[in-house]
Amino acid sequence: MLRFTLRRLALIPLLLWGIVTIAFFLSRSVSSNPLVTIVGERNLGNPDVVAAATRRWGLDKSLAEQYWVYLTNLVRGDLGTSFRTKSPVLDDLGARLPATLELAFTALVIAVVLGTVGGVIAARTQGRVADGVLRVAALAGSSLPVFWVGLVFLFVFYATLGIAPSPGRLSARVIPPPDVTGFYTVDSLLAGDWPLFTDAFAHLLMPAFIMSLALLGTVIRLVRSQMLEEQGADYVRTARAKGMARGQVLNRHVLKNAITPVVTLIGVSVGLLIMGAVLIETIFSWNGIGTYAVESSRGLDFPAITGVCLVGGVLFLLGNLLTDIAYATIDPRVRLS
Amino acid sequence: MTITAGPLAEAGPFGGTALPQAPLDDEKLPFRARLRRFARPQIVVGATVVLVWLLVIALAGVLAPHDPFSSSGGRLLPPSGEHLFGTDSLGRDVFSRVLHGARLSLPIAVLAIVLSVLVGSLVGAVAGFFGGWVDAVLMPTADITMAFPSILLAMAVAAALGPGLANAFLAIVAVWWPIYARLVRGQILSIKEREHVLAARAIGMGRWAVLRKHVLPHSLTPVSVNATMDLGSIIILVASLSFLGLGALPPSPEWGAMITDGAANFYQWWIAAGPGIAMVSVVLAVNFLGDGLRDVFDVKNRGR
Repeated sequence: MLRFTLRRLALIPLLLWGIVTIAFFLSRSVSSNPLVTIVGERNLGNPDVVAAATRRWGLDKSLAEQYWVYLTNLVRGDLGTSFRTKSPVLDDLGARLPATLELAFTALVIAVVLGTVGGVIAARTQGRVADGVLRVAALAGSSLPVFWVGLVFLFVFYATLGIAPSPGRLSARVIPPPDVTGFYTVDSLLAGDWPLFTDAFAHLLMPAFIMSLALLGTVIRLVRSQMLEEQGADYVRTARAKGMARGQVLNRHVLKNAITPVVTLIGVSVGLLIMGAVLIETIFSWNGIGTYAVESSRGLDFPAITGVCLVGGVLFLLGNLLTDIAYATIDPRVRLS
Repeated sequence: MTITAGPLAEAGPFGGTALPQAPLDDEKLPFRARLRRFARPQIVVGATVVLVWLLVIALAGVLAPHDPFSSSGGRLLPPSGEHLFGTDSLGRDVFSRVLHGARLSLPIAVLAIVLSVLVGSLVGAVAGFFGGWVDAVLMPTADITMAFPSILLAMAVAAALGPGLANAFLAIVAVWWPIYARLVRGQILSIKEREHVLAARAIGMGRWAVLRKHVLPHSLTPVSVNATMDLGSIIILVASLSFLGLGALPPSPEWGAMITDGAANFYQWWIAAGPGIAMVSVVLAVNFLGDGLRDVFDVKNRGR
């Protein structure tokens, strides 16, 4: 187990180097001029400003030199300076990551809880109407374009019914809690500010639910098929033969075994959650990594794009590694090699 | 399609892998019996909706009541008999634009998946069949590409190439090919140990000929089923890039770009509703179809 973990950890820098290299050369192969972003359209006619900016951002160096500088800086933990915000990319990312993590984590919890309930119901009503409805709903969940669903939910629950809060992490003119974890819900509780917590939580709920939709169907299907498979196991027959009620067998024994593989989905879900973050944050004015990625892509801010890709890659690889380790820990039959 | 992809794991009598248990060709079955296997509710519903959309693509010019690119009355009019889905911020008929948008969104997605399958299959087949250093170079490239969350890589490619539907298309192919490379490589690895391939090699057939005639055809079914199942995701990805301003540009009636206009005119709900409902109907139909085909052919391997 330790050897497996170490070997996988050793692979991560290699994969990250690949990601950085692809992102770097991709961004430098661009036809449009990054100076437009750096100095602004108005100053492009001013040769002094342009020359100074070119020197300052090292754009006068050759591609190989730029790549080398980028890599050596990266090893020291410097992701470069954003063309757009003019502050270090690492600081930008650090400031925005907690918002995305809070959203993604909530979505994951919603997907696992609702998905398990749905999967159990589907398995217990196998072949009947509820099962069919859940199957269609599961398929529909992964068929919906999240950005459109976000608009529909906002229109119905915020604009028409008025029961959901406005987009954003907090209501207008509400001051964020003192920064500890960056999660507004956690920080407001730490500060003992209950009204602030309810405000942050209310704002979190709808985007997190929409984000969970992409995952919900997969969880329902997995739990359902696992439940059905486990129901045929010998221990179920034994428990039933000893006189245990069917519902009790299902809740006590089968469910516990059936939801173990859900852990494997968490790794796969990281990619889906990042995709959701990009689109849902745009709709809900959520100031996280997703909106940062969109703003950077639109503004041709290449140090920032490379940084976002790097963070996305790290999250993705860590998610997969944690999944493997968690699965092997929970299920002793799994051997990591 | 005559091959079913059954489980391939069991060891055969000569140390290779056994032939799949499912009948290899159902061509001997009468046509109606073969057809009956496809008579599942998901497939019938999915195929019907897809057919309707194919008709729309063919006849968009005739079916659309108004010009999709020029104003046809007042701006921001709610749905009415004259304008089924209302009009947008420039007074264009949303219904007509949705119909014309199908001509962009759907063919682009199909082309993107076909090109991804071609590139991915070629890479995966070569890597799996020849193994050795070819495999050691090609597959890590695929793995690194897959370690990017797909939307981030697609956004980076689209940003580097500049906005436009053609560039969004290239970005999606750049993101999607490794999935098929992985899938096909796995298939090839199991097929190339089967007896008929060993026999073909033994009688002196060349490696490329064996690959083309005896190995690749057998991986066709899982690849096409997976391609059908991925088509929905690709349609959404194209629209997502356009929605973010990295794909189709105005005045294009691409569905994602239309939803951007709908988001800008948030209280005129019909502008986003039209293209959204169209997209949901297509993606649901395609996913139903893929789900049904997966059941028929019993394809489990997702390659990721």
